[in-house]
Amino acid sequence: MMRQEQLKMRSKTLVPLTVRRPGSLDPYELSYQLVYDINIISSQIFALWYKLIEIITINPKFVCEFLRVMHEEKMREYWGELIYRTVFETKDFTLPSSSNHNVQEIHRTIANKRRGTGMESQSNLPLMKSSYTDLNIIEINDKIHATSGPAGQALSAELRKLQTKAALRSLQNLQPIIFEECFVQNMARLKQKA
Amino acid sequence: MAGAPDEYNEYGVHLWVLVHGFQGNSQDMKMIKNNIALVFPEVMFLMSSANEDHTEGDISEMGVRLAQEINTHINQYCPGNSLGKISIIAHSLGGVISRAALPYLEEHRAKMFNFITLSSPHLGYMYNQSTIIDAGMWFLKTWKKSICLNQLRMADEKSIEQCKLYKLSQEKGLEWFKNIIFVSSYQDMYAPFDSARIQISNKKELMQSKNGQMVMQMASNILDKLPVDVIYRIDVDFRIEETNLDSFIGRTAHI
Repeated sequence: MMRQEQLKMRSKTLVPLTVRRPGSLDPYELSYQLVYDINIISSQIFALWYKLIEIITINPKFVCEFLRVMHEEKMREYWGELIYRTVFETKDFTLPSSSNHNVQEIHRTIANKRRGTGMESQSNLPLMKSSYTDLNIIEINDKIHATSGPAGQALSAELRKLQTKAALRSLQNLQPIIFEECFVQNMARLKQKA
Repeated sequence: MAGAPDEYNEYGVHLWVLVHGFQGNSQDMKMIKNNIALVFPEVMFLMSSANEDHTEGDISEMGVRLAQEINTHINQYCPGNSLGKISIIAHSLGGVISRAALPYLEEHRAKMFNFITLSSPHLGYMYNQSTIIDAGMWFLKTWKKSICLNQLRMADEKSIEQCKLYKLSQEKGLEWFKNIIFVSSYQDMYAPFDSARIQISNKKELMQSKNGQMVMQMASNILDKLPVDVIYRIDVDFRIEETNLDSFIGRTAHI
């Protein structure tokens, strides 16, 4: 019990150093900060793991099922945005989907549009373009601390939402885009079966 | 009808067979296995390793080895009527090997459920657009005496009708499956886009040459006999940032 309390307190009080932009570029100081953050995160994961073990002993089947459903829902929501599904009715399975017979070009254009990049500029983009522009944590923290009370809390909630959205957007930019083409030979029969 | 849903033993075990590609090994498919196991924890997996040291050999022989491995696994782990369904996921050359294995698995035809290939050159490499890949293939074929690459280029016999890949298109097996999915990527230069999707997009060009007509015939041989109403073709667009040899020759998307 004591251990649990201690872990709870630690997870509440310790804040990772890298939420702020590092004051110095000294490699030793930066390494120290990274190790410090890893330690904090590992202790937080440990506390979470401890809680999971505790709850799993109460009702393992329900907990596993509940967590799985939640995880699947989140994944469906997350991946769903990156899947383009089209249904084509065809008499011959060997023929491609598009009338201009250039499916790959169409998909390439859609993918580039989705990622918000032109073909020519795609190779020049950095891997995580949004790390400082979309997630400027210093600016966000400054805004949060600038206002206090209910207005400040509302603003911080709003900013957190924006922050999550931006993080998701930048992550999605790295994910593959999937074009699912469903070729149906006999739509009427399929509808009958359904 | 064989493969109709009411014939499946719903209480039986669902066996997923994962087949690796050229010069690969069974662990190549581990990530796919882990993801399936997360969603379907009750299914059984067979990560094929029978062809690990023979992927440059003859496609028919590899098919026989794969079929033997599947049969042995079923006899050992699914006795009696305990087998419910069989699904196959194959990467690259593994897709062609799987098709070569199907005629030897006829006793399980009623159990066949999903057939998923990832960038498999079902129609060979005859119409590969990349000259670099062509050169690489020629090198492997000539210096390493790779039989399967020769077969994929349809250069193993003088007459195309006698080529292994053409004969394979006439073999039975694919029609037993309920769900058929061809996954491809246009960024993948290893497996030509149309070949991985078994489709003919440049019909006019192909009609002009005899070889082209044979490729069209192969696609028809494979797909025309399918009793299913639906097939899926999935195209994947990757964000490939690095500019190295792998991305240049289109290997990154393939792997």
